[in-house]
Amino acid sequence: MTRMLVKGLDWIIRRVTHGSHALRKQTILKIGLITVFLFLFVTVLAQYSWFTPYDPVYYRDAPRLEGPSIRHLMGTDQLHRDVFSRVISGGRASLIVAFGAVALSMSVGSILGWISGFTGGFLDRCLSLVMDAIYSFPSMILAITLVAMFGAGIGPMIWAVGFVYIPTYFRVTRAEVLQVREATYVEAIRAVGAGNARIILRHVAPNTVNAIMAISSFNLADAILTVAALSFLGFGLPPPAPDWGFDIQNGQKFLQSGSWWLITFPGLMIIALSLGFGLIGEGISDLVNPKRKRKRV
Amino acid sequence: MGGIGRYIVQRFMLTIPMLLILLTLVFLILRVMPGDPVSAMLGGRNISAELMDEYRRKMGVDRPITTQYIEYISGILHGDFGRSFRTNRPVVTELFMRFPATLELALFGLLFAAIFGFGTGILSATRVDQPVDHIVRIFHIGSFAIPLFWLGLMLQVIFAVKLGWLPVASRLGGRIAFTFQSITGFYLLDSLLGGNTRVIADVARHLVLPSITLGFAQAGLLGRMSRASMLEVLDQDYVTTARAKGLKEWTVVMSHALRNALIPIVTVFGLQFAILMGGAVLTETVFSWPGVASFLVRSIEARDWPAIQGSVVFIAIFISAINLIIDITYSFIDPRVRY
Amino acid sequence: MKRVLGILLVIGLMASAAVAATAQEPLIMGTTDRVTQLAFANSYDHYSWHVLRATTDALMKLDPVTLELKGAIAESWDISADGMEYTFYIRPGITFWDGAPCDAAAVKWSLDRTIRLDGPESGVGLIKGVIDHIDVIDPLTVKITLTMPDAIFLLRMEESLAPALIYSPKSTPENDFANGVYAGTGPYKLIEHVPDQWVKYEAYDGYYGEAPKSKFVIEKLYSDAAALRAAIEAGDVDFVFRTLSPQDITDLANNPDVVLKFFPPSPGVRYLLFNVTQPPVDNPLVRQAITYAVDRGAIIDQVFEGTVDPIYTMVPMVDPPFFGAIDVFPERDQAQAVELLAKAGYDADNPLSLNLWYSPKHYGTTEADVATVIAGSLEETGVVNISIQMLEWGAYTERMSAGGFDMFLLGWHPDYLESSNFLAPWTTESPEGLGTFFNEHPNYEAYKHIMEVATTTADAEKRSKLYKAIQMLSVQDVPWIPLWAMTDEMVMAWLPNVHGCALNITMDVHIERIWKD
Repeated sequence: MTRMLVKGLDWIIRRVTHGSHALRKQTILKIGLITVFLFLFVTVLAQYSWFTPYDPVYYRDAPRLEGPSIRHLMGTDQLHRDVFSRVISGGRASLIVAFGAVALSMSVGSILGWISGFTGGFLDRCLSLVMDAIYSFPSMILAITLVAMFGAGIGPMIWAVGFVYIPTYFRVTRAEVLQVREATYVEAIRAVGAGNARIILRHVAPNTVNAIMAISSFNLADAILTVAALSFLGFGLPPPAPDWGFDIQNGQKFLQSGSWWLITFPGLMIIALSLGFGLIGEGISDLVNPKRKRKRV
Repeated sequence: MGGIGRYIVQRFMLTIPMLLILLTLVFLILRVMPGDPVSAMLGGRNISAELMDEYRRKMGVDRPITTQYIEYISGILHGDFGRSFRTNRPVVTELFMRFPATLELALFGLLFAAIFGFGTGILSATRVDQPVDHIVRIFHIGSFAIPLFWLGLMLQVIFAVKLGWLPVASRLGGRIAFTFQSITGFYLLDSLLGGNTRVIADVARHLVLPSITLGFAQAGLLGRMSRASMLEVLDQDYVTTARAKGLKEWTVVMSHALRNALIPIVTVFGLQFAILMGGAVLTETVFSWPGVASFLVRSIEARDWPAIQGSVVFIAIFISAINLIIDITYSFIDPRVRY
Repeated sequence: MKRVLGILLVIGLMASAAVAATAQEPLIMGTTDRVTQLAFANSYDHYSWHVLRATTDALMKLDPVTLELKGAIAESWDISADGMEYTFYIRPGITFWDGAPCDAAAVKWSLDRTIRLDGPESGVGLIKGVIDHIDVIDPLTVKITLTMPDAIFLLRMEESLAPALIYSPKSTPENDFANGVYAGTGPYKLIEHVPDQWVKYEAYDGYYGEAPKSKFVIEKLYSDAAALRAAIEAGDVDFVFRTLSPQDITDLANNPDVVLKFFPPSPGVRYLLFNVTQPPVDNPLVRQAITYAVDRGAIIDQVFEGTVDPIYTMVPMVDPPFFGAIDVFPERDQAQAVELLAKAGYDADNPLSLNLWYSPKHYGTTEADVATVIAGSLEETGVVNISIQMLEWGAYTERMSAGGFDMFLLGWHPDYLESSNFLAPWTTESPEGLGTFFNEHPNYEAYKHIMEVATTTADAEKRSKLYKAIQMLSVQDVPWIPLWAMTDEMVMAWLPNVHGCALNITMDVHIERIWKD
């Protein structure tokens, strides 16, 4: 199973990079991709009841608050539910919100960056200032306030988490546009009569794609943590649907009684997924920026 | 001197529009809030329409949005952040009562991050490709993926519940709280001024776990940066020269390399503060820390609308001020940053 | 540098000497509650009232042991034959801790002020409507004239109701809610309240009643039950009150170093409510079906580990002071529930879909589990689909009064100790504020009439019958479904060297009666 996955990934990577040798050697990137794909795979399957060993929402026949055993790999919670079943299906909201938020901020941020970079002048200055202001503000506090204002739910959470990342994409795209605009070959293309849209598609977009991919991986890693934090603070989705942040908040009540498994396993899942996205980001950055590779003294 | 003076003025002038934009954003975000602040304040009680209108007038939400905006900005200029529904005290008073707690926590979080980050960074830079280096690098990469609240809970259960070495939560033990007099609001400083060793130890013990929790992710980031920066510096000619002179490796690292490696890292300290304020929300929640961030969370829960607005504005101003101060300080250290 | 340290050391020694001189081991209470406002005319929550009550008295009080209604600031009282005029004779020699005398003028001044200010966050409504005007007859005699006869007026003047408390005209600002700015009669003086951290008290030497057992008291505020439990286990506090989680209660009961005791019964009730105008629960059959489907046993076993008790009516089974309580709601019967739902037109192919609203933190840490278990027990019938919804408390009450809920969870602590306080609020007193919109129900007028007759009838026997009638009607109309009594709030834990910890049905702790060796 895993071997097939690795082979498949390898194939995808080769296709994407047209067989570039450097990329295939990226173990960090590979580990990251495998982790994330595994999570996606499991999370999608776990939405079907035949995949989880027990019902993650209503299940009463298990013992109450029992530690890990053969029957219940990660123990059971106070409502007699199997923690393993909850943990493997608990990433749904986090993944949806993370991908949604990053897609939102990427599109809004990039478009604003293009507009700002090409138009220049007063609009550019204003937008840059606004973006700097958002960027300087603590993202966690911004996200909490936004969720509190919009109300809980997948949609509001996507908005709240996504809003925070807009400035990053704005900056990257804008910088690239400015660079391309100055380039002599673009002057030449322009002279031939190409419009802004064409320049964006043919010359700006390809140049920013790597940087944006790296940034979005890091943002996905951060978004997973932010969503978990929001759920932990009680600003996430309502129960009984399994959710890692919510389950950690729940497990906190039983921590001092020795029920360590209630928070440990959801926490490890968050770490693994977030780390997976982070490693993808690392790998891409290394590729884009070979100078970053370590030096020997 | 003229250069520096001009830079400071320039930097200061840049802060003003930035702050104005932040304040406007806060205003806009909070005004799209669904629901009516007056009925939020009444929390389910039925009152007459006239009384409702009177509260509306008192709170100023019956006026046009532009008037409200102007009043909001001029209020902030005069240090008036509104009055909390819950406590009926000026929000500024509430925030100043809690701000020292947050700042104390943030400073110690940063201190932990600096010590631990630089320490591991230098350690791994001086032992490149040895097992220590690999372990440290894994830690550096992994540290950002650990949810702060989870780390806090884990530290709590291990060091407070299981081992009993450190207190679970709060800033001060119950046994000494009655006689404890706070002058500055910074409890460690207060306890040092008080000079009672038992109190100092108690306050310090309460600071340990929250500081580690808050500073952990920052430690990883600083560690990575200091490792990279150290490696760069160790490759430079003057370091090679120093080595050639027969100086001990330790002396080379400490006296020649470290200082130059630190310069680029100090710049990120300003940004760290913004991240720390975000992390404070979770740390304060996990450790019953009575600071600004947990006040914000409580205000959100109660829909205490002026308190939410006031806290967010307060944090915005604080962050802008920190950034300004750090940039200016840095311009004295490294003349290259000046425009 | 050394010199600085030296100076610090000297200052330190001086300070610690000063501390040692005044030190007397204070009594330490731990709690997860918070003060909102220490304002008689603008607060309405358990803990703020607790602090106010610890620092001043009202005209009347309940004996903490026998629950007998006694005079506090009032030494004795007369009631006119028509029940419209209450004359209180004030105990001579009472002073507030600011030195001002507590006389008839002070009583009139503080009650008048509280009623006049009637803040948006207050419970002043509990006394406001009944009092017409207050006259000072002589320096120690005050006469209160009512707007209508009120069978429970003396209970309204009792210290459990913060708006009835008396405070000093000298220290309290006339026209401001004045959070924390007041002087009372004792037993304690308020020394310091640091928000989210602690409240400190010192015994008031001039207190007219029995002197408090402990001279200094500090109440330490923790942010959650886990921290509170850790504090008592580490010996960081002497006793804890409100609110341990069920798991912590179970564990502490097994901890040999801590004494834990329940003080049942609890007059605090938890229940489901319905907005009777909102489909699909506007159909009485649906509401009746839910009374059969809901599983109290599962809530009590799984969520509360047996630390609470099931209830089958709103009125607490504590007689006196509550009378007429009668178990009217049925035990669980799924077949009956399915049958009623079938009558209402719902079956497995066309299931009943409705929301269950709750607020995550207002009622401790267990609410999400409660909602999950209730939803589970309703869905077990196979003909119901529940979607659980949550809102933070502020938004929750806002939406509740706007009529935005169909089925929702709420809780009630008595304002005054009489049965009507457990029947009137959702039906006749504030059906809109509490989200039931029962005033639009066809039987509203009937409830209203019964309640009016009951509250103006002095004869306890007759009143009790009328209350029974309302409870019996409520099974048919189902504005509420009583679920459990909050016995888990009637629990205290203390260290073995602490004495005098006790709770009665006022649900508040009397810190002046607690001391340690």
